[in-house]
Amino acid sequence: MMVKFIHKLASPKYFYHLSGKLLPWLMAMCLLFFLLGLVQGLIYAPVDYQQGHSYRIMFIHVPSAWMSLMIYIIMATAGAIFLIWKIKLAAIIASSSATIGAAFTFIALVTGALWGKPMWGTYWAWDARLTSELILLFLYLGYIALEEAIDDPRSASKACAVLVLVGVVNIPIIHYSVEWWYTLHQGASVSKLDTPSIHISMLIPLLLMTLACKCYYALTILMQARNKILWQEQNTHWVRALITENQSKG
Amino acid sequence: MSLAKFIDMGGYGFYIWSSYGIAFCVLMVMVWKIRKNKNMIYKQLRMKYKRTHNIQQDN
Amino acid sequence: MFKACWNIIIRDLRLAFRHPGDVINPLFFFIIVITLFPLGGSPEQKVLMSIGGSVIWVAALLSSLLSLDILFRSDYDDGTLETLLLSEYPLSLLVLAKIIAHWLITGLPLLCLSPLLAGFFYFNDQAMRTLVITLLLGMPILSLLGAVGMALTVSLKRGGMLLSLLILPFYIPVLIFSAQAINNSMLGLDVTGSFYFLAALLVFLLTLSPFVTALALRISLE
Repeated sequence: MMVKFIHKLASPKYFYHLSGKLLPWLMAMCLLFFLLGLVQGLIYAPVDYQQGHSYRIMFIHVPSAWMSLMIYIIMATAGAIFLIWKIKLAAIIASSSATIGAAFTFIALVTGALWGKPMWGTYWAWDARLTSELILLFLYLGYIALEEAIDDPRSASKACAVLVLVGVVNIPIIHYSVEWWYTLHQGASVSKLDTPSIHISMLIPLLLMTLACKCYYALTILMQARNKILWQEQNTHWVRALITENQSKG
Repeated sequence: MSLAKFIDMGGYGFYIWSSYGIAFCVLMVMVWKIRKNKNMIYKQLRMKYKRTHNIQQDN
Repeated sequence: MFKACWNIIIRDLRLAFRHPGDVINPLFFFIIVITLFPLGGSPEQKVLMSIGGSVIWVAALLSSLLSLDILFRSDYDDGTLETLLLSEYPLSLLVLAKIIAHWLITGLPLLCLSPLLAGFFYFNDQAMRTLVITLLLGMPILSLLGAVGMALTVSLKRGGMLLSLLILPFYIPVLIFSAQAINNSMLGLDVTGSFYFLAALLVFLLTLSPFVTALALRISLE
């Protein structure tokens, strides 16, 4: 039953139709969660007694940082699935995730810097977490560069799958060494961008924003996957029918 | 709570609003680029199908 | 099987001796980069002592990166790589042999330079010993990691820049632990912890990298 469903899902046509039905729901959920999270986080959450209002940046910074790591792990999983079972959909998911992951990493870095300015007095400090995040951005950019460089899409997705698997094995090692390096130079550093001792009224907007980011990721990945499927399957009947039908409509 | 106070955020307004602004700009640009890509694919495929259709009719 | 590996190592070494530039140029590059730092910064002994470890290791990363070309590139151009792929022996083992040869050609000669480097940066005996040990443990790690990146980009025409983008982030742990170990031993601190970490990383990559490199080569050449 389950296996049958997965096989069906892996067929591009079925996936295209199912995702088409899912899109409006995801869009609505994404907007709703963002709206609720912003209202809760920017208006209702109480002021932190140590950091003042500036801690409100956390509600976008922390979810983005979580997303950046989660997306890399998803990419690695999809890459492994593609290498082992040769499911095309997995390759599409991995490659569409890369730009979104890079975007979330970028957001985490920028908001981290904007949070750092009032907290540390400088936009950039060589804090362990920010540095790890920067290296993660390099990993994403390397992945995108490799994918751009290889012309044949099939070998590009295979090569990228290998790269992302090597990356996911290396991330804990890199993270550990950056942490170690940071503790060694603690003298020059300042207090971490810590999530303030979390109160339920702060936890709720944080969770809402995290959910919103997850919906956004699902939404954009589906949209990108649909584009790629259309392009890859352009010589099949159903794509042809779909596009000529749309033309007559509008 | 007054609006001015809300925008000022206890002096941290600039940092908070610019971080949310940049974040949502990035997220919007991503969606916009994907939409543009989709329109381009539709346009290109439409042209391609028209071409092949005409050839079939000519034959 | 081991004879095949042995033959590959001998062959690569012979090739290297026929083009001595392959061995000497990375070393030369390494020394030039290191000379730039006192010139660009300050020749003061105190400053040089504090940046010595980092400078040496950044230069080592770059020269190892630039010398990766000789690992697979020429073999790819003349078709040797394809015969390796078709050979009856496991590709990962042959790849390991090539990596060892690369280390012998580019990593090991750096060790001979270490007294010179120690002189440049006014290292004491303990820092000198740490430098030798980190080079001994760290350079093979760089070759093992670089092999994966090289295998992924070998079929691309302009892979050089891309290779550095892909591989440099993975070099960071080696850089951190080696450079910090040297800097710490200048201060007379105990650095065996760093050695253990580098040794663990070396063993880990020694078991994993040949397989991944073989897989990447197969993808690049298909």
